[in-house]
Amino acid sequence: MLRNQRGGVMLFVTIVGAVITTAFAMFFSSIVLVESRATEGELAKTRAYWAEMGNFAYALSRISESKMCGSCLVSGGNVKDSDLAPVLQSYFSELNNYKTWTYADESTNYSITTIVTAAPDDNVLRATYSGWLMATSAYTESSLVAGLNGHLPQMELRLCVGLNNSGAKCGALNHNNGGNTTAYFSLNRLTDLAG
Amino acid sequence: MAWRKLHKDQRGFTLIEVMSAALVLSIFVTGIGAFWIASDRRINSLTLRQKTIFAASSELERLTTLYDTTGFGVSGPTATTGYNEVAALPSTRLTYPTALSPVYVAAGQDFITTSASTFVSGDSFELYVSSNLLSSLNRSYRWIDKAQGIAGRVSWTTTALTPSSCAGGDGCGCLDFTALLAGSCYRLDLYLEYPFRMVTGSPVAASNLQTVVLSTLVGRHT
Amino acid sequence: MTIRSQAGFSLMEMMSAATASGVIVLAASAFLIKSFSWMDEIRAKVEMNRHARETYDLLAFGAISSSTGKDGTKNLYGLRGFNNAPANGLRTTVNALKYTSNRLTLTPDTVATMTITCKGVGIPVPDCADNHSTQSVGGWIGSDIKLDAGASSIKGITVKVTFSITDPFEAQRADSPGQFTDTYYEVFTMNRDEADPN
Repeated sequence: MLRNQRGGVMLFVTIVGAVITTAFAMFFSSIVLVESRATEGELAKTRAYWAEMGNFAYALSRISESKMCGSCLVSGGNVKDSDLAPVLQSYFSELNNYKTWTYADESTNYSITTIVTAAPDDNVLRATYSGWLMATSAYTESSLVAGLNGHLPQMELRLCVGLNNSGAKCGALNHNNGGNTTAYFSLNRLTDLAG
Repeated sequence: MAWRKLHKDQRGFTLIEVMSAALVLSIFVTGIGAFWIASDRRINSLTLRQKTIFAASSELERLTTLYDTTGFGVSGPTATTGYNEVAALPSTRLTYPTALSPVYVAAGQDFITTSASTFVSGDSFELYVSSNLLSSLNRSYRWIDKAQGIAGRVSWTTTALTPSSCAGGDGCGCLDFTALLAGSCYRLDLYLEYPFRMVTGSPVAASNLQTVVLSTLVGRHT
Repeated sequence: MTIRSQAGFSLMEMMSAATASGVIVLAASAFLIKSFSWMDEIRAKVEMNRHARETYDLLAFGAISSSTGKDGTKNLYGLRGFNNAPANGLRTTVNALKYTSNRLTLTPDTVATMTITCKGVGIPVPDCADNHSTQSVGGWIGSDIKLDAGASSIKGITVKVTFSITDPFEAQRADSPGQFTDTYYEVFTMNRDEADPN
């Protein structure tokens, strides 16, 4: 009697079971994989923010020390915004050997490169000697970072320079505020352009 | 004759086969349960990692505020050694002093405690400095998930910046951390290692420590 | 055809085999049914994680609106771009995240409003104050977002932020609803020196 039992159902059941198990495994893996990427994407976003803010912190400390003196040929009053901006840009350019950020707990293929561009504030109402400047971050990322979920922030800082003392507020953007070069500034706006 | 034909053509499943099939399917179903458990553990681990990322960023907010706006960068941090758990990270690092006030901040702004019981019973923003006879063995901890009793160890390193190019005639100096002279800005690398649990008042590391590393530049400004 | 050649199983053998198999199959079935609730839990945890990210990112980085704000831009500034911390709350009357900056308001994360029956203080959702009352929930923010930039603010420029993410779907169905509320404690530096465009 037992000789006649070909056991065909066992093969069928084993195949069905294997297919169901594989489907569940792939389903779970996709949930976990997507969430893992999103979490690491959040870390990359945080790292990019701190890299860009670090560039700003350096420039602000340079302003505090050098008093917006670039080559120190232009100083005192009546310095145009268009002459102040290259001084601010020179501070950011000093960081050229610190623009690529790598992290000790990541592989060498994980890097974020930050670049900051300084300019006079682009508001059309800005007066020539307003003291209003802006600094805009851009970044490039290695393939390992680019493969993660989400976009990285692009921080933009707007500030006015040449103030009389610490804690002073900006003069109006559409006024000539003296064109001074001092150690004092006020931060007017910090935005993530990437939204 | 017809009955014999009917009997020969019945090639169905025997009861033994059906029972064996049910048993095998049950084994597969139980195996699927293992996937649930593994996924649940992995998701919990990812939730904790995300909380750690937020916690590290919060810690860096406080730390950069101290460096950028107070004299903390002069001699505030405590130099510590002996971080040997993770080979890729430096073994010598800085950590918080036993108090920030009155030198760097007002008393109400000081978030550091050297009491483990205050750390355990206080709010989630407290930072605990475990103080030793040898200050090089001091360690700092902050909560990552206080409801689950999970903390992280805070430490960092600073490296003075040496700019590659210096356009101006002013020596490329930052304001030093006393805010009086020319000095250097620093690259700051923050390490938040986790998970740690408070066991009878002492933080105990898990067998497999993970890290979140964040980096930025700090410089004193007016 | 003789009866002697029938070498099958006896009734007792069949009954014991069937009983043993039945127990195993019953256990496996119960396991399978339980695993569906585990699937719900895993999905809920992933969802809560995602909403925590969205909330954190909005608080930290702000957003861009389709309308123009007080300062002539479409920016909603993150807390990092504030001068003074906003008031506590930052959520609608049905628990959806509500962020205001530059006279622009975003409510980016709403769900269809559901009515939850409370079973006790904080059970199943944090806003529950007693037994039997109801809560209308249409979002993921379990409690008012607390912002503390007072006496403990470092140099007057950091703000401590406490926010809770609650999964209302799972919380009302779970035996232990507390596992579907997660609270976050974060710090931001308010970098803006000029007055906020309020």
